[in-house]
Amino acid sequence: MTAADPGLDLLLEPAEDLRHKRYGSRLLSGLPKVVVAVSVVLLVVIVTCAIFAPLIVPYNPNTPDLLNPYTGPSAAHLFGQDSAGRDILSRILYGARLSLLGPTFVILIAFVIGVPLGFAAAYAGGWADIAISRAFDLIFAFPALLLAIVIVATFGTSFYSAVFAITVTYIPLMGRVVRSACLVERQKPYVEACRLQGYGSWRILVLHVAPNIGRILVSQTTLYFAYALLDLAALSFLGLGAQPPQIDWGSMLENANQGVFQSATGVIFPALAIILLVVPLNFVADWILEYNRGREERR
Amino acid sequence: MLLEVKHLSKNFQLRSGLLGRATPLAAVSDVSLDVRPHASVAIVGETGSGKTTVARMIVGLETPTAGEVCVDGKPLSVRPNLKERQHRARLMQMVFQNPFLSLDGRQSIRAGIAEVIRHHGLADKSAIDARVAELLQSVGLAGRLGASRPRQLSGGQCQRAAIARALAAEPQLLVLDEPVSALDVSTQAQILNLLADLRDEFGIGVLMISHDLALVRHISDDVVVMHRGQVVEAGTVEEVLDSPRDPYTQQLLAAVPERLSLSGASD
Amino acid sequence: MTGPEAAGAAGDVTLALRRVSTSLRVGSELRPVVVDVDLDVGAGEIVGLVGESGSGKSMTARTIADALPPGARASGEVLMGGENLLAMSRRRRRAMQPSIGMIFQDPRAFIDPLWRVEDHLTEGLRVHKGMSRADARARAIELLDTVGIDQPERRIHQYPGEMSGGMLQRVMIAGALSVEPTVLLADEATTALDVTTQAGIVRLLDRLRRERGLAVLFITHDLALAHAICDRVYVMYAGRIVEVRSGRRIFDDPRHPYTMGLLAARPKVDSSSRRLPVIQGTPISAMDSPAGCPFHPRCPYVLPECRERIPPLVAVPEGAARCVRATEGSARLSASTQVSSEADVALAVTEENTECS
Repeated sequence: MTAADPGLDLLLEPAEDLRHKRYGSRLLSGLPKVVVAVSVVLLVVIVTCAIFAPLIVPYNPNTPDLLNPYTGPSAAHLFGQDSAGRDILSRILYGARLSLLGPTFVILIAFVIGVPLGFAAAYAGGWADIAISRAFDLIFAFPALLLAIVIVATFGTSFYSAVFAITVTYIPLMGRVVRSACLVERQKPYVEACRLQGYGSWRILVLHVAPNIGRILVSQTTLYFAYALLDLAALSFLGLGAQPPQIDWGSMLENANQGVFQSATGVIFPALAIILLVVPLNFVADWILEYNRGREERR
Repeated sequence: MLLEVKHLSKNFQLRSGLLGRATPLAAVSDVSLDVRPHASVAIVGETGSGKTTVARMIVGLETPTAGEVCVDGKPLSVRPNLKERQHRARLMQMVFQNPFLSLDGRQSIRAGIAEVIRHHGLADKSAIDARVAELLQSVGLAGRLGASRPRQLSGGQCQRAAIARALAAEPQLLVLDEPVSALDVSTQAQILNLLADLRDEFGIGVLMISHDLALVRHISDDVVVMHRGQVVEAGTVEEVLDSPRDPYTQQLLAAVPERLSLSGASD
Repeated sequence: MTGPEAAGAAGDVTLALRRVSTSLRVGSELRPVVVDVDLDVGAGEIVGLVGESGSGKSMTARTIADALPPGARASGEVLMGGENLLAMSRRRRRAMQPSIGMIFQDPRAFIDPLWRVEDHLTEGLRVHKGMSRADARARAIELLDTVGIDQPERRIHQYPGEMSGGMLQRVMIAGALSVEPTVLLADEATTALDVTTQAGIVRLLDRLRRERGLAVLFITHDLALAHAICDRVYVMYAGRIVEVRSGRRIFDDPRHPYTMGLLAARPKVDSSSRRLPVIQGTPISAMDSPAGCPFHPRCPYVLPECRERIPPLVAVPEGAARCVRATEGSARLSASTQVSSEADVALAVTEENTECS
């Protein structure tokens, strides 16, 4: 019974915080649970399609049908045919693989490199922080896509150079999130209490601070996955990413560009596919951040 | 003498604007005080008095610009390394103002206390759980609450947990920075009684930082009044609160609600 | 319903609450936080509303000021000038806004740090009164002077960050006064301030109510402060008014066990005691109230009937108290203290012994 209202004897509280503080995030949350549920379902469906693509495609995605370029939907080809008469539905399903694999690589590598750098910057402080932060700033100073184009131009166009290019721009993003979150935690009395005991910096970092920034880190990572997907699709659209016979949604968009007045399906479906991945990811990222936050927000 | 603070000073550099000159702010100037073993001393002051900075310098969270802090006659290092911090933690512990933020939100209360015990090597593995239970008992937290996380507890319960964690290191002195100012009146009274009990039971000394004169009267034997970084008056609570000599202390006392009088307030 | 008659305001009642109840939306339900509150504030009076967390005091103020969170519901009557604010159309209610000024605990949270003092003060004047910039500025300087800020011509150009908490609180008061309200709600307005600063603000409020006939509702958790400055004090617990007395009597002769406990639990600056008498357990809000008197689980003077019915307000000298034993007076009550087993059960938290007085 006493656990019902934990914050109840806390005296000093700004009146505006009343909403989040006691009555849970649902009082003011933006997201009805159903939206989050639908998002998760969509993501699962898309990932499943990507994994099982070879088993469920109606046609070989690379088989041309040069007599029927830029054809709209028909009984035989549900999503229509692209510039070479290839089945768009099959290409969408197959395209999911690279379209998902790309951001996965980007996020994984950026995480593995960026997170420790962020921790080091927050914890070592001093010269390490200055060096790392300035290195990050250097990368931030370039428009991400421009930097990516330069890298791809240097190493040649391919799926992997596109991934490499985008990863470079995402490492500082991850690092910065971690660094900021750590710095916020460091101000809190519980970290000072740890220092007082004589716990070492690494111990405090790993055992105390890291678990406390977990939520924000997961949420941001989810968001960055979505952004990486968009960035990679943009590179493919420019012809700088995966090359034929590899298929991904960005290059499908580029391919469909010229025939858009004959059949818009070549543009609509890849675009829809991207949207159906990016938007749910945004909702899920938001939900991760807000879930039960109301009860945690104490001052 | 348990704690001797000698001529402690702290200057902060305030920078105005990007290229502005740095002006030094003397947050603490030449503060000295003593705490005898088992005694209860309070530092009283308002915002900007420097009382919290003094406390932080004593426990080692701030580096003094000048002066030193001695325990049992031996000066403590102004820039402690880990070993020195660990040693200091066995001498004194701090309890902070915000009960929720002073505990690791992701750790159960029990785990946090056990960590302290293990770190200082104060019990064998098998004895740790029993020791944790003992500590929770002495702060009045029912056993099952030990498994809770701070966000599941009330402010008063969190503060008790923070006190238990502080006691886990078996310190000789407890430094408390406004420990009850964020709590309701009923909870405040409970915590104050707890502190009195703990003093009786463990004989620890108490250094209380507060702006609340009534609280200080209740819990402390000696009081130091600070204003703008300096000590303006010091003595026993009776001396200072019944017959204050310094004009600032008098002003402070006149403003306390119980002594506040508004001209013509309907009575 | 003896509240208002038992301790009504002398003279004009500027603000009257009748059976006001407020509920907040929690998840998909409505849960009560304020229950059946009757309250009067007369012109030129300072009335105190005292309570701890969960008492509903802030929510009462927000109900008056139309500042409730989304989804909340209020019923009853909030009467100003004979009209019920709660029954008005949105437009009419908004038009009434300037008559109710409100100041809060943390001025920095409510004054935009990117606005100069001038912008903050003149906004109300230009929007509600259609004043020109120049006129509004002149008025703002006057207001700063009224609230006791020195060098107002200089201060008007400053940003909140350049001012101390006390000064900023005065600016907030100036802002509230700028639209010439008849009622001022001060919600823990001095809680975050130093004692000397608090004294200054409180004296300012006192002067303002005298000079302008302002009706001030002073919300605080500090009963001693309410005693020092208020003509009349209402004590709230679990969303209800449990005692209403004159400022003096509530301190000398409290009649509700909660009020007694609140007084006893505070350390005194004039004398020290070994241990503070403690009300066991923690304060609850209306939504967690048990059947019968909401205070009964923590009450050292509980009787069997307390568990069954919510007691009505009973007249006592210079006020009323919501307790079946209100007429007994504290001296007789202490003599008959019984250790109640309910009180022990409510102690999941602490092992404090039942040591009331």
